[in-house]
Amino acid sequence: MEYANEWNWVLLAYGVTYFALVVYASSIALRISRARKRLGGPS
Amino acid sequence: MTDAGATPGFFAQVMTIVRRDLLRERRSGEVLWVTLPFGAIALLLVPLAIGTDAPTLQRIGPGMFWVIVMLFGVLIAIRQTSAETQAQRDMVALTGLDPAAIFVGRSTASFLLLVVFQTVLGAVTIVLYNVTPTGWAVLPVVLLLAASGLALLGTLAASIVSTGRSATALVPLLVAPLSVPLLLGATQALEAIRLGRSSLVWVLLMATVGLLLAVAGILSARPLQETA
Amino acid sequence: MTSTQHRTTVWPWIVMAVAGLHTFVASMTVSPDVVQGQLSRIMYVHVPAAWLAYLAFGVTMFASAMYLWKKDFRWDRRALASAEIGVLFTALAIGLGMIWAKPTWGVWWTWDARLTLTSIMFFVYLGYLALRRTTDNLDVRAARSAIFGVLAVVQVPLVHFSVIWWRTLHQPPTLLNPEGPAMDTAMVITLLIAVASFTVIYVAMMFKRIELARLEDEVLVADQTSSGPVAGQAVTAPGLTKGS
Repeated sequence: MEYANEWNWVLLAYGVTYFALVVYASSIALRISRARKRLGGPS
Repeated sequence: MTDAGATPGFFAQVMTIVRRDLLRERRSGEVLWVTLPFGAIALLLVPLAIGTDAPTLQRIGPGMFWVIVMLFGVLIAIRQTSAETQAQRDMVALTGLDPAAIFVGRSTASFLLLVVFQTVLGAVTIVLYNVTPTGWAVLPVVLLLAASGLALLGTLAASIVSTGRSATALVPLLVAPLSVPLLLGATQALEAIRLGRSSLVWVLLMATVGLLLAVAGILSARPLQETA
Repeated sequence: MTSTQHRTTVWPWIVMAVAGLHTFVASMTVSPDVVQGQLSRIMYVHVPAAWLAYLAFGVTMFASAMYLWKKDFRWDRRALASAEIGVLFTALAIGLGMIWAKPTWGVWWTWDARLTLTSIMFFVYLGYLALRRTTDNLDVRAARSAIFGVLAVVQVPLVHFSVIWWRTLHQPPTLLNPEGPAMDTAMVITLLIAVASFTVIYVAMMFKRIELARLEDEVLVADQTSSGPVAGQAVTAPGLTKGS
């Protein structure tokens, strides 16, 4: 019981961490490709 | 540059700015008739929300006073940001006044207005929260240091933001986190006196903050004017 | 406009993925702490995030000072990139601290000096990023944010000391020792690995974010140079025809 409960918190922590990192990295990638498009396509 | 009249000295320039700012305040009455009543009603609203039992109010009174001075005092320091247009700024720059003198003058005017603000709100706090002020020797020093620190910080932040999108909304966000040493210095110095301890370290902290901000403001005045 | 090569780099993405996976595997395989149990695993993401929050803040401030000295836009972009990544890791450090504190202490928040300082820093960061949005003029933006960055450098240590004095005046920091008296060697090594991996992630993110900042500046310049005459015509030409 307590064991599972502890794992829930760990799962929450790692979930939040990796979700945030992936979302932020994707936002950089998205913004880069958008800016490249504005500047006249990829080269 | 080839002006016939000699440029007035630094102090005279500062006094010109102070006089101009105070005259503007006398005409608009922004601090006296807008910000001051706003701060006073905030002190009135808190007991309505928290409850009106006397011991609680007595305990939170000084803290509420300082929080409201810090948050609303910023509005005093940035009053010129909203009033001034880019054209007016350019005019001031063209007059050849020393940017450092402008900074010192503005800070001084804000300081004087903040002292008035603190005095009135202090009286309101004493009345509404039944607070008995302690430490008559240190209290004026703390009030003056808090006013000068906040005036310098607000003026500096206002001149960094200058004019621009959402300038008046942004300055309080820049100032609030950096005003923590002033808030802690003021509250803890008076708390130390209440507990019979030495308040010297907190007074020195506030003095250091003021000194560093004055130096930072004077040094950054010219680069900010050149790029603004 | 300019025929600058828009060279893109792929390696930061790979590095981020590898370092992230590495941290995950290392912190999941190490044996749990005797006292804290599985909850100790949160430390392997919380501590590196907090470390990066401070590192990123320091880099922003250093880059701001360098911009004021050199007037080189590359320093301005470094300051921006580090600030944005810093906001992410500061938020993570605070959030993960809460997730750890709730099951351990029973509360989401304590008025610990370090926690208070980190949350104040978070707002300084937000102010810095908001300040950058107030103007589209690259010179003005860089100068303003650099001066604010240096101002923060002056003020943050004072915030730091005042918060520490404030806490020690009221209560000795006894319960606030998350590591406990003695930490297992394997745990220390895992923690160091996690800190190193997160630092690598930070560096890789910096590369991509700086690349983005450079592109965004180019877009801004392109917009300003191309929209100038168009906007001018739009204002004058219709006014002449309709007015007469």
